[in-house]
Amino acid sequence: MEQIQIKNLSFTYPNQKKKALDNISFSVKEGEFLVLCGPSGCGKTTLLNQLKKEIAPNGGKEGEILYKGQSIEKMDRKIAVEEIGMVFQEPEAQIVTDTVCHELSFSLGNLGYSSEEMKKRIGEIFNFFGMENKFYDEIKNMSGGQKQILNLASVLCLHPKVLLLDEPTSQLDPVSAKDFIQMVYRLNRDFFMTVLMTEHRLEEVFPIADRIIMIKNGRIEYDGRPKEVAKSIYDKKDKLYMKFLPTITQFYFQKEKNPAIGNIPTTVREGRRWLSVIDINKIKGKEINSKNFDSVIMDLKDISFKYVREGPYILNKLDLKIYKGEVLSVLGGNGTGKSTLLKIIGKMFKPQRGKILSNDFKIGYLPQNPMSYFLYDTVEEEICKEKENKDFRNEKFERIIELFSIKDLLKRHPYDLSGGEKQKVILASILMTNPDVILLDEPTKGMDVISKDVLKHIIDKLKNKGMTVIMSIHDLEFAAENSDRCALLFNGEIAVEDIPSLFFSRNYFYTTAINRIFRDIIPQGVIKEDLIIDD
Amino acid sequence: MKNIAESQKKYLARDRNIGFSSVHPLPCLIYYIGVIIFSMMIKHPLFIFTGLVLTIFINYIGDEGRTLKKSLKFYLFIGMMVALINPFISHEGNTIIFYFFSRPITLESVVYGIVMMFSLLIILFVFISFNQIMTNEKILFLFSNISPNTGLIVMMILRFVPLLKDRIQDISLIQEQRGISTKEGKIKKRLENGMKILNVLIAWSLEESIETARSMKGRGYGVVHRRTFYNNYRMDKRDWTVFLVLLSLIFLIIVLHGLGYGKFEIYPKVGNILFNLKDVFLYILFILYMSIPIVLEGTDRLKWNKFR
Repeated sequence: MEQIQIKNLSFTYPNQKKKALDNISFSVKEGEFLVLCGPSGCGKTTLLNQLKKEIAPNGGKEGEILYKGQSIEKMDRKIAVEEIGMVFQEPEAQIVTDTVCHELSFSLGNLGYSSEEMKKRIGEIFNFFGMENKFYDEIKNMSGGQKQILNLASVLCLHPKVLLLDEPTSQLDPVSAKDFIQMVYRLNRDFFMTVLMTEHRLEEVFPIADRIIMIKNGRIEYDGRPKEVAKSIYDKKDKLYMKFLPTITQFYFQKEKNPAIGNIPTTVREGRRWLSVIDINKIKGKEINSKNFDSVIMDLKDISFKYVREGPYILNKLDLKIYKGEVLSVLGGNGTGKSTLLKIIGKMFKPQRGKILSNDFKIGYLPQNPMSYFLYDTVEEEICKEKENKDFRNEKFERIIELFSIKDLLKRHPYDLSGGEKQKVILASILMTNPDVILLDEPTKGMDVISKDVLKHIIDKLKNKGMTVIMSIHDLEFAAENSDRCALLFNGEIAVEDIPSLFFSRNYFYTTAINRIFRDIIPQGVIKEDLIIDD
Repeated sequence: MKNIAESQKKYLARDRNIGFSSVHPLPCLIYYIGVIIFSMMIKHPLFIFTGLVLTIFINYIGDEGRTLKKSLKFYLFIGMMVALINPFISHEGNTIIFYFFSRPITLESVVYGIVMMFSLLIILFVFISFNQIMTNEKILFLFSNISPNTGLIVMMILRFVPLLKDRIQDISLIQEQRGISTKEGKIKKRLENGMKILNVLIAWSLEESIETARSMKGRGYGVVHRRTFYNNYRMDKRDWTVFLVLLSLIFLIIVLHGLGYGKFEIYPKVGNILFNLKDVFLYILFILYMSIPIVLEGTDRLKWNKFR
């Protein structure tokens, strides 16, 4: 039976002419795992919000949404809250209280459940998630991934039938993101929970979703089983949406002349199987041509750093050389000190031990959270009033605006921009100070493929201007594609450090999907572009 | 990282869970209220001095007196100030010791100052113990039972204060890169910069609170008129016993003291410090009351030793 039916739904935000959703119709069966996908601003989040009536934004709405045959607007408030649960994008912003115990009892308390019932439900949830001893833990000490799991748990306390997830993994590192998605998959499979999820990273969800809906400008562009959607994207030669597919699937379509739905690989396992049936001699690896950087601008020697006197060292006798003009990616798990290292390079923190030999150079720092950067009401002011309110509206200003192509944004408020646009504005503002070294702290966090492409171009431009770029990053694919050198931070030290193709091909677990598939035939093949199809 | 170290410390204090800290929050609260009432009501130096010794001992049980040691100098300083200043302000009393700039310094006001110092020290010392025993969790529990909404607000504040603190550090660090520093420059400039940083903090937090509000609504905030609370604490038999003993002792001591037991006259003339039979009776009750945490700790430790 259809659990959710959406009939001819259109939605327009107040004071806007363009429809955010345009005549959308589809229905969802109970227990279905549905992924809504598309570039940011396509309307997928708007659609998801419409399904949760408590938070649905005001605006011009046409059409109707039925839940179990009844209009969701007429649903009983308590039932609506309980049966349709939602987890949002930002792990931090959704949390209301201070400890795990309070957070979990918050939703139950809102609906007036007795203490005994709460005890039962919370006990159950703790068992399910295996976090028995964390009951009294303070949330501020938890990682982003743990916070997001907590948000999920807090919704699950209400025993929902439908889970709405709005880009739940976009702010998480890849490992936590996988854990979260596996947890959702388990709920879907073991408890028959309907899942509607928006996501722009399909790599993880593609193999487990029952159905993918791709949205373009508020309309449904593709709808079907994952492999069917992949096939129709190929048939339409849709270059934009091709980028959303898993890398191996994209590579399959490049190589295969007559793709068949059944053969489309979406995982590493399927990719390896596909390799075993084709003529692998036709795939060749690119030559490794690494540029040599020889002038060292900064030499970190035996750097040790910690935040509290009694605490452990975050960085412990770390050695690192930074060369002029290179793009260096610092990789590593959560809390290994990537950001700390960046801040030490940026001279924001002073190490307790060790020596830094460096030339005199200027540093620009792109913070992880852009909100901590903006001071003014318009983008224009943000860029030209760089230092001490002096106005720098000059030729250089024009050049930088041109470089980032942000002319249209100048009069807007920085808060109203998308994540990618915010980054551009900050970088533009940083460039006004003529830095020699640019530090990017997790620049790909929460970005879709298209914004990542833009970022890639920006990094190229910075490099062409002779700047050194150092970024801390979780995204292995992005690091492999865009850096001259990668360094893995582990246990306070640089564990491995090399050019990307060697760095990743020598790693066994910590490497890209393409490398895991092709490592036996083309060891240095790390990204799609490293592989050449020979016909 | 800093937070982790802090929370570990707190965790230890919270999970001591032996003796008085394992008692239900309500009797605990009653105990502290009682101590504060007595320390203000009873003026007899022997009572007050005994009380002070016992509170020090209670502190020793809590964390081996570490917190007390840290702030002892400051507390003693305040106490001494009170004891010293009182004779110079108050000139009541019949027994004049000497004249200070033609103003009489009386024995009575000296004694009263000392008694006041002891009372104050008892309140300060017992407050250290209060902070250790009554964790946020317990205070919240008491609050929420009176008003669930106040409880929720307290929980939200407990989350926000450290969050905003971390955030402001973050912002200062990043704004320093933009030349907006509160650490150098003229005072006026520094103040201006401080305001800018505060502005960023407020804008950022407001922006985020929209999301928090959505999450609260999505999880049913406001659906039921009176929200309920998760009860962490249950009164068991021991808690009831402690509760009843505390209440009856408070009642007895207040009534008997009102009837003249344990009275000590200071003004207009310092009375006799020696005990009569009535005073001895109240003294025993008082010691009994004050040492309840010690008794509870002792029995728990004995049991524990046997178990091992």
